Amino acid sequence: MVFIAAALLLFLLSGLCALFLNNRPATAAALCAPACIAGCLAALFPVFAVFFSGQEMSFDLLWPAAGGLRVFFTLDRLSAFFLVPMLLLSALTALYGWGYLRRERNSESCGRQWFFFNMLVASMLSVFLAADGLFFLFCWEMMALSSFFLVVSRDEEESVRRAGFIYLAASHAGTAALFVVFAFLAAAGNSGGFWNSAAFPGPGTGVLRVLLLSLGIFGFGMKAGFIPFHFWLPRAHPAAPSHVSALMSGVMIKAGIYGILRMFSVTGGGEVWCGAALIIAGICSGILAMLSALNRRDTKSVLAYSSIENIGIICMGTGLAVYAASCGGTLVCLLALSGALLHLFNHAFFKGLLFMAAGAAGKSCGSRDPDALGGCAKTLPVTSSAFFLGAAAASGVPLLNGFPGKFLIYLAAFCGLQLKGSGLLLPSTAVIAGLSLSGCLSLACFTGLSGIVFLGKPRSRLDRPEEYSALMGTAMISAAAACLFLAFAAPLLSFSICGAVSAVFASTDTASAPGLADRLAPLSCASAWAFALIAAALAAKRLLLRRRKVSFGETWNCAYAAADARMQYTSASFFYPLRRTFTFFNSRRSPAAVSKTIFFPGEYEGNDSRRIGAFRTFLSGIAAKLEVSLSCLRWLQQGRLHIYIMYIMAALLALLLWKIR
Amino acid sequence: MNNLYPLFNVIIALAAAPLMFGVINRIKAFFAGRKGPPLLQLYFDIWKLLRKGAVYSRTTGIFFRLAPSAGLIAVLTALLFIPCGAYPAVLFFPGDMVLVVYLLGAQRFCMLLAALDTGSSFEGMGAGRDAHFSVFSEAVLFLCLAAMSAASGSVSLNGMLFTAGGRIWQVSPPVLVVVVFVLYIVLLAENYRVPFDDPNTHLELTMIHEVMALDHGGPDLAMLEYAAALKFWILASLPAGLLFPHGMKPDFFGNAALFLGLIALTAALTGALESCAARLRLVKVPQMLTAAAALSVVALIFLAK
Repeated sequence: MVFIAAALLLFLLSGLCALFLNNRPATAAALCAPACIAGCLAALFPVFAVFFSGQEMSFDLLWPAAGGLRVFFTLDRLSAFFLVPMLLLSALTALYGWGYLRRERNSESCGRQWFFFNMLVASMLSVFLAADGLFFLFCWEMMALSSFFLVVSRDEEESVRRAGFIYLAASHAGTAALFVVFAFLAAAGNSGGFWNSAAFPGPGTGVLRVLLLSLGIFGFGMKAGFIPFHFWLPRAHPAAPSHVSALMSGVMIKAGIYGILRMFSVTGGGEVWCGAALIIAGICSGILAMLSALNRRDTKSVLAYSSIENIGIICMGTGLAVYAASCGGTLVCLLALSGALLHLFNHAFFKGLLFMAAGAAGKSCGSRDPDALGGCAKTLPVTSSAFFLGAAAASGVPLLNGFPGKFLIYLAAFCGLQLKGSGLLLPSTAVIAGLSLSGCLSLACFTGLSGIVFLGKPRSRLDRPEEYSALMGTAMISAAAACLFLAFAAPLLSFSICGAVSAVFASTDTASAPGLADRLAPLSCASAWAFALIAAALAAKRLLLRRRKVSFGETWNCAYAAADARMQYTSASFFYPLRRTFTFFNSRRSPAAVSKTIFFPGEYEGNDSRRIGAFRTFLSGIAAKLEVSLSCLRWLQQGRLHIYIMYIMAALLALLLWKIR
Repeated sequence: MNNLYPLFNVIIALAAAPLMFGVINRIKAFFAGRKGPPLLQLYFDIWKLLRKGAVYSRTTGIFFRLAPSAGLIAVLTALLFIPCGAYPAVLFFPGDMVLVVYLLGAQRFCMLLAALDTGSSFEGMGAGRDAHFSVFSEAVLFLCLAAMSAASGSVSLNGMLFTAGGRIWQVSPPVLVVVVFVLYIVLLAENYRVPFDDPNTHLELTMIHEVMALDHGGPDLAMLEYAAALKFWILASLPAGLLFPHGMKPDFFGNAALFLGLIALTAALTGALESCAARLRLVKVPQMLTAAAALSVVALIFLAK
């Protein structure tokens, strides 16, 4: 408890100091980044204690100055499971951000950025700890606002402002739904110890329960960003600085999953239709997000879509677990939720790593368009190795940490197929098909992306790019080491995973199912075996070639030796076959818009960015309708401060009158 | 001694896998009225390549050198989970089929990056097409595995092909024939055979697998060819394992001969098909694989009922 209070204080104080150091960005960074890292490490002590021992802690802070406001914290096994990746990744991104912001040209906003960064870390820490409805909502809103200000840190660009606005609108729509849910709960139950099941309307209450569950899924889903609540994510993540996008994608969107899991734990495991809805949303996210990613010409945008895909995988696991719990498939439920949680844990590290590497490559090369880059692997060894490692994990290569979580979800689905007559046939088949399709698409996407950006020859005549900063390199190496460690360490996590699962499904008996560690151990052995054999094979090849001639030449281009770097395959050409197959889902660019020079296609006009068209039209249609129908209330919005203060006074007065009535 | 039999089966696979490409080529030669290369041609090629030096493109980096070894190890690891007729696999655990498919995916990951590492448009083209087709073939393979799992009541390859023995055929023989057929389609697609890719083509623009091996040479190429042969063996083992006559209760040598015969039969069928059919247009390939996926879903529904 002392550690957590100290960490929160560190975040807040250093952030406030940074606000006053706005004209001294170097000092602000040197103060805030170490403070943030120290705070994260301090908070890790109690979190690790709960993570490994499983004994939950709860405490409350009394704040006399605020009229005896009492704030309740609970650190149980579910929050500890989310807090470990959150704190570790926050420390890594703070280190990375220190190097990233150091040479920022527009240094005026640096102090402000550090303030909001530390606020974001503090609010995420509190979100996972809050046991009190009002306090939870307060932290949730702090998290949304501080990340919004970080997204718009380059607010001189029109596209960034637009992305920020959409993010703000989306997260407020979600929070509005959460307000309704929490108000109902507060009215039904007592105030302290918020996540209590007594307050939630039971299974017999019909419409009210359905309404609250759907509002909860909507509100938390807006933060998690699975389809159809994803639209803010591919805009906000590329617009934010890379360390912030790493943190948002690695951890912040998981707060949505955390909320959904808490809600299921309160409602005694949710309902069948919640499971079905989550499975459908997960499959749509897994497949459609990767198809959209194929059309992106910005590395960070592709990564943002990949985050949607991974949230989709987590949703599939969670949905299958909820579905199975109501069908009596205890083992399926356990495996599916464990898989979802394990994937969530691993995704934080490999996606954080990928965003950091993409940001570093973008800074070094001055562009994030894959088709303008190429061949950076030789000049940027650290960044490129980090990206390749992350890409391999994201494609589900079994030697790395992206695989064990998916494996458990597959295993759950295969076990679901065995339970004949339980109604699990359809969801299990859907999950197997969805997981395999999204897995193959992400393999295609990540090989293409990393190959085009880092391999081959440089496509534009840039100066020789260099590693941007040693601090960023250190952060990337640490995250890569974490990914490698987690590839072997999955069985070590099984105790904490089981704890988190039993926190969600209190009724399922985790002890009755055979140990999770035994199921994950073969994967770790296979990884170790394969790594050892690869090393042996490389050594054998070296031995074979020791006394032989190893010469160097040109790449075979049908005997054409003067191939220009611009003739290489680009990401557009690499993904063309896939895009062509899935044109029914994308709108097509009219070929007439491409003007031709003698050999190469020239500049083209028109819109190449293909989106999930129908959904977009639907959303903007709603927005336009709302704008028209609400325009009669414009007179309220006078734009003068004293009028707004008058509104507040009037509201308070009205409330007072209502109270003393 | 009995416990060592699975290991002997792996050794037989390691030794006999390159033979299958010889069988395919002999059958094709027979259909074309030629004499054809010797059955052991791939062994000679691999032996010769292993004794050569290496030539690397200056554009390439570490990936190009790493990929053939890493790909071979991925396939080798996958081989350990494949049961061989009346004998179990060397290793098995619940869910091992997922690991096997993802190990084959890992091999593809290495190959695609090695192809892009050369900076050649032709290799990029092959890699793009491979990435495209694999999206479909891997999903179809998973659906087939789901059908087999539902029919056999087991969640490991060993359980589906070995422990369940012939019992799997008591569920619904006609439906299982469909599964075998779809597995054969996956075998053709994953091994880049006609009608998905023509290994005999001599135009870089039309190749998939061959074009990705263009810049490899020496021991690297040997590992790559050997990995391709092992991959053929692994994927042929699935339909062969389903069709294996468990009722005969063969002894070790009989089992090995029967299993080898079944895989050689698969190879011969592939050779015959390649002699009679032409390659599909590239845009038709996803349609064919989608049809295979539909078949496997139907099979799954019948088998899991």
